[in-house]
Amino acid sequence: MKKLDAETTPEARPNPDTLSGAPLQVRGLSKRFGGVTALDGVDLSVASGEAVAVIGPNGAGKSTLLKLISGVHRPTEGEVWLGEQRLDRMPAHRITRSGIALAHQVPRPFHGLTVRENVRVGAMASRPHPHPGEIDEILARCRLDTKASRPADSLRVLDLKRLEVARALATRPRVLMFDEVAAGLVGRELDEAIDLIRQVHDQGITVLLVEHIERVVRELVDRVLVLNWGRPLAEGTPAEIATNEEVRAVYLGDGDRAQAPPARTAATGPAPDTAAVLALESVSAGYGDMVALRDFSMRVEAGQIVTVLGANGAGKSTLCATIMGAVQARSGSVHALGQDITGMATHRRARLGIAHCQEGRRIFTGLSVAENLMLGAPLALAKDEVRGRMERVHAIFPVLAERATQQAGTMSGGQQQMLAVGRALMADPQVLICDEISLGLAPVAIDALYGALAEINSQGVAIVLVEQNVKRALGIADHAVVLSRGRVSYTGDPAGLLSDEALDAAYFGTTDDTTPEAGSYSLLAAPVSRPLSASEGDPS
Amino acid sequence: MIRTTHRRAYALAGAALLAAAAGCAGNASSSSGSSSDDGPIVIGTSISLSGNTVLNQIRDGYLLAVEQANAKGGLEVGGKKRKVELKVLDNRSDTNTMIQQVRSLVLTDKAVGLLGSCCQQNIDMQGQADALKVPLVMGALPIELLPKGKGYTWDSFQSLADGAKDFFEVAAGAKTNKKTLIVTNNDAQGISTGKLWAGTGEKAGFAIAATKSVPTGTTDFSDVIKAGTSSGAQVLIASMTPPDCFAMWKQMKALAYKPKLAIGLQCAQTPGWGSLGKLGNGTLVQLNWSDTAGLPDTDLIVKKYGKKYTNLTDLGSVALGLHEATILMDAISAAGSTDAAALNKALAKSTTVSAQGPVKFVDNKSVSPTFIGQWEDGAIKQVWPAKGGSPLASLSGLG
Amino acid sequence: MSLDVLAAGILAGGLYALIGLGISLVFGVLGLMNLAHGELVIGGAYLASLLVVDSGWDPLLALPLTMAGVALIAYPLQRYLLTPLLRGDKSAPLVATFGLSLLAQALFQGGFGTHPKSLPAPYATSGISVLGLRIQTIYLIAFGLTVLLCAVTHLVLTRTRAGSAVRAASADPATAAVLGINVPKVYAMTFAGAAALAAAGGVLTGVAQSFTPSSGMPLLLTGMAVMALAGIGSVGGVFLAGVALGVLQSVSVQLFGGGMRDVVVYLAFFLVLAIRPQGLFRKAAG
Repeated sequence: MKKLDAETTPEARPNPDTLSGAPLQVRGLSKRFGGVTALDGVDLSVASGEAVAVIGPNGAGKSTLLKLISGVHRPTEGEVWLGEQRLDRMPAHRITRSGIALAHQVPRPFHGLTVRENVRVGAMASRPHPHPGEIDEILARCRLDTKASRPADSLRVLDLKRLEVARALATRPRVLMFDEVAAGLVGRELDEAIDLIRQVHDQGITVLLVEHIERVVRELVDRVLVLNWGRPLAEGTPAEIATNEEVRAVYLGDGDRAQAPPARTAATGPAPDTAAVLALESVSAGYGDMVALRDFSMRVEAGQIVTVLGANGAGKSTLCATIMGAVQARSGSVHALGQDITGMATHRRARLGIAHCQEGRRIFTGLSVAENLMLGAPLALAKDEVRGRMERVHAIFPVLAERATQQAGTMSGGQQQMLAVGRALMADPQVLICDEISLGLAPVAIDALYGALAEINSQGVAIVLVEQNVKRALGIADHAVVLSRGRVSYTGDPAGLLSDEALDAAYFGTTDDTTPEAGSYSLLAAPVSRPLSASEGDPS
Repeated sequence: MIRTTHRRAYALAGAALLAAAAGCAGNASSSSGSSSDDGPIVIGTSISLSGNTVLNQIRDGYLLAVEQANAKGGLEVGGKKRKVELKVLDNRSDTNTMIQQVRSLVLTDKAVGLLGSCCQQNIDMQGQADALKVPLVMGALPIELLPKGKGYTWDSFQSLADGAKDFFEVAAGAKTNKKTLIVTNNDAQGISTGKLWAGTGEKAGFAIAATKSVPTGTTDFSDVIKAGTSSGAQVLIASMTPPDCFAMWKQMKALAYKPKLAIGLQCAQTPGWGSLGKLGNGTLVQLNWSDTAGLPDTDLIVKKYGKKYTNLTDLGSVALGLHEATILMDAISAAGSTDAAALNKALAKSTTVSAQGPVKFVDNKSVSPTFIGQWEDGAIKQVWPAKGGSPLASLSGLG
Repeated sequence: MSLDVLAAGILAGGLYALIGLGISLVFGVLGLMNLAHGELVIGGAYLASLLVVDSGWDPLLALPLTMAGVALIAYPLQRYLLTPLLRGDKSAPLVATFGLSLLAQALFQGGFGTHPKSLPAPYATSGISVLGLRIQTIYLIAFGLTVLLCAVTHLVLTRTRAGSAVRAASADPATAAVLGINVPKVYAMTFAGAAALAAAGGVLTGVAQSFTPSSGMPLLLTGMAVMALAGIGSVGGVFLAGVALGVLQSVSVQLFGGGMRDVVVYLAFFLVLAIRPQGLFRKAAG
C-alpha cells in the first residue's frame, strides 16, 4: 500500500529503527480531579503492532487513561512512554506528532468543512504534510472517497465514525486509540466498523481499544485489561476475561450479596384501577434524525418502585429526559398526577411533584450543601416548611446535616449522591426518578442509598429506578422494564429477570430483528454499556 | 421542540426588525426627476440627520431658501423660470454613505449644485465635488480649515483667527489678571485650536498660564483644574466636546476654581448647555449669527422657526442653511444656466447678501462675521460686538 | 503622586464598578454579553431627567423610581426576546442586544434630541473637604451608593434562596429546571436587576457629568474593562476592579498626561487578559 510506504520513508519517520518498533508504556499512571481519583496506578505495556482492549464498568477510568496518553489531561502521577520518548510532559499537539492518535467516541467533525477538508486538517499535525494523494488514499481506505466533497455535517453515524478514524489516520499515527468507536452501531454497521479497525491494525499500527461491545473486543484483540475504580482488576485473553468471576461481579454490581431486602411486599398493593401517578403512552422521542425511544408505554402506580434497565443506548436517559421535558415527545403522551404533561415546561413538571435525580448527580458544586437542598424546595415555600422538609431529609441522610455549610463539591461521591437524592426529596415529590444513582459508588454507599430509597418509598413516594446495577435494582423493585434499542423488551415481575439467561434474552432479545447475531453477545457486554452521551471518568 | 423553535423564530424576527428600525431610519428620499430643460432644477445635499451629528436646523434653512425662491416662481434659466427641487439625503453621520449619496445625487438625480453638511464631512465632500466637477456651497467649516481643492467648493463661514481675536477683545474689556488657561481635546483640531488661541492671546497681551489637552470622554478634570488654581488663571478657554465641558464645569464649581471669564468653544454652543442651570450662566460662546445684529432675513428666520428652535445657536444654523442655499441659487440665476462650469464662474463673482451678511469669495472662501454670546438663564445673549448686544455680565455660574 | 489624584481615582472608580456590575451579572448568569448595557445606563439618565428636569425632583429621590422603571422595561426584553434567542445560536442574542442598543439610541434621539443633558442637583457642583482633600460631593455619594448596591447584590446572591436559584440557574440551567426553578424567569429577573443597577449608574452619571443619546458606548466599554479585570462571578471583585480602573486612569493622567489615559487603561486591560484571563480578583478555576 502506498500509504505504508510513505509511513516508513525516512522523511516521515526521522528515526525508523528505534521508533517503528517502539512500545507504548504506561507506568504507575494516576489522575485525580479535585478529590476524586479517576485513575490510580495503572501499568500497561503495548508492544508495537499489538492490539489491546481496555474494558471496565462506567467510571472505571478507561477514557481518562486514553486522555492521559493523548495529552488531553495531565497525569497526577506516573509516566507515559512511546519507545524512548516520554510523552506525559509534552503538549498535546507534540504527542500527536510523535505518533499517538485518538478516535473519539462521539465524532467531532469540524462543521462547515467538507469530509476531505476535515481529513486535511487532521493531517496538519504530521510532518511533512501528506500530499493530496495520501489523503485520497486514507479516504478510500475509510470508504469515504465517494463522499469526500460532501459537508461533514451531512454524514450519518457510521460515516462520521469513519471520518473520525480517517482524521486520526491522517496524523500518521503509530498508535491509534479508539474510544468506544463502535458504540451505537448495530448489524452491518458494526461489521464494517470492526473491519475498519482490523484494517488499521493490519497496517502495523498499534491499536488500543476502549470498548463495551464484547464482539469487537473478541474479534480484534489478543489481550484485555480490565479496570475498576481506576485500578487494574484483571488482565488476560478475551476468553479468560469472559469467564473471570471477579469481572462478572464488577459488571453486575454487588447485588448477589445484597439481594437482602427480601421479597419486598409492594408498599401499597395497588388495585388495577388506581390512577397511575405516571403513565407514558406510546411515546417516541429522540435527537435530530435519531430515534432513541420508540413506542414506549409504562405505568407507575402510587407507591410503586419501577426499575428501568437496559444496555448501552437503550434509551434509558432519553426516557428520563422525556418524562421531565428536557426532550419533547414526538408522539404519544405523558400523564402524571392526573394531568397531561406532554408539552409542559420542565420546571412546571417539577412543581407538579415529579423529582428527577439526574445521572451524574448534577449538584451545584459551588454552593453549600444546605443551599443545594433549599434549591430543591419551591421558592415560594414558607421558611418553616422548608426547615421541616430539610429535617426530614436530614433524618434520612444524617451526613447532610453534619455538612450543611460545606461546599457541595468537596464531599465524596457517595455523599454527593445522597445530596442529589436529598435535594430531589426537598420538593416533596410524589414521583422520584433516580437515574443511575449507584454509579461509581462503593458498596457501602450503595447500601445506604438503597436503604434510603426503601424508606422514601415507604412514605408513599413512587420511584422510577433507572439502573445499571441490575441485581440491586431487581431486589427492590415491584416492577421491571427492560429497554433494548429504544423498545421495551421486557416488562413484568422483577423475578422474571433474575436468571442470567432471562436477563440476556431481555437485553438482547429476539425482538430486535436488525441484529441477527444478537444471540452471540455474552453477559460481558451487557449491563456494562452506557449511553453514548455519558462522559465517563471525568467528574470535573 | 416545535414550540421553542417557533418562539425562537419570532424572537429572531423581532431582533431583525429592531436592527432594521434602528439602522435604516433615515434615507427616505424619492429619486424621480432629472434636470431636463422643463422640469425643476435639482440641487442636492447629503447631510447628517441621524447618528452622532444631527443637522436638522441646517436642513430647515436649506428648505426655507428653496421655498422662498419657488414662491417667487423659481429661478430664471435660459430665459425661463424653473422651480427648484432640493433633494435631501441623510448620510447618518457616515462618510462612506455620504460619498455614495453625493455620487448618486449628481449622477442619478442630475443635481446641478450641492450643499454641504458639517465639519469633517464638508472636507470629505470637497473631494467628491471636485471629482464630479459640480459646485458645492458649504458653511459650518471655518474657512481656515478648507483644504486647497480644485475650485468647485465654496465655503462661506467664520474665520477661526477672527473668532480668537474677537474673544480677546472682549476679554480685554473685562477686569482680569490676563492669566489664561487653555484646555482642549487632544485630537488634531483641538490641538491646533489651542495653538491658534494661545498665539492670538499672547499678541493681545494675555499670558498663557497653562495649556492642557485631554482625550474626548474625559470625566475627571482635577489635573486641569489644579493647573488653573495653582497658576491663578482668571481666563479659561475650553475647546472640547459638550460632555467634557459639562463634567469640567461641574467639577470646577465643586473644587472651587473660579475663573472670571470662560468661553466654551464647541461645547457651550449646544442648546443643551441650558440644562446645566445656573452653573452655565456667564459662559461665553462664539456665534455665527445673532438675532440682534441686524442681519438680513432675521425676521423671516425668527418668524418661521422661532417656535421650533428657541435658542440662538439653533436659529443660527437655520440662518447658515438659508445663507448657503441662497448663495447657490443666486449663482444659478446669475449664470442663467445650470451648466456646472458657468455656475462655478458665477459663484466666484457672487455678490449675495443673505442671512450671514454679504458674500465675497477670495480663493473660494468668504468670511462671515463672528459674534460672542453669553449664557444667561438658559438663553444666549449677544455681548459682542457691542452694537445690538447686551453688556457683558459676570461669570456668575461658577462664582 | 498626590493624595487627591488617588482620591479622585478611587471615587470615579465607584461609578465604573456600578456600571461593570450589571454587565458582569448578566454575563455571569446568562452567559450573554449585553451590548445594550450602555443604553440601559443612559436610559436611566433620560428616565430620571423626566422627573428631575421636567418635574423638579431631586435626582436621589428619583433614583429608586428610575431603577424600578428601567427594570420593568428590561424584564420583558429578556423574557420574550433574548431568552428565546439564547436557546439557539450563541451569536443571535449578542446581535439582538446590539440591535437593541441602536434602537435605543434612535429612540433617545427621537424623544429627547441630540443635545447633551445633565441632571441638576446641588451636590453636583458642591465640594467637601475630607482630610484636607477637596472632593466633589456627587462622587462621594456615587461611591457610597455603589458600595451599598454592591453589598445588596452580594447579599441577595449569597444569602437568599432567590439568590441561590440565580446561582443554580447560572451553574446548570438544565438541573435548575428539573428542580422546579423557572429558568427563563430567573434570567429575566437577573437582567432586570442588572438594568436597575445600570439605571442607578445612569442617574449618577447624569448628575456628575452629562449624557447624550450616544454616550452609552463608552460606558459599555468601561464596564467591559471592569468585568475583564474582575473576572466573572464575584461582586467584590467587580467593585475592586472598578476602583482599580479609576485609580489607574487617574494616576496615568498624572504621570503621562491626559493623552495617554486610554492607552494605559487598555494596555492594562490586555495585560490582565494575557496574564490572568480569569481576571485579577478571581482564583483560577481548579
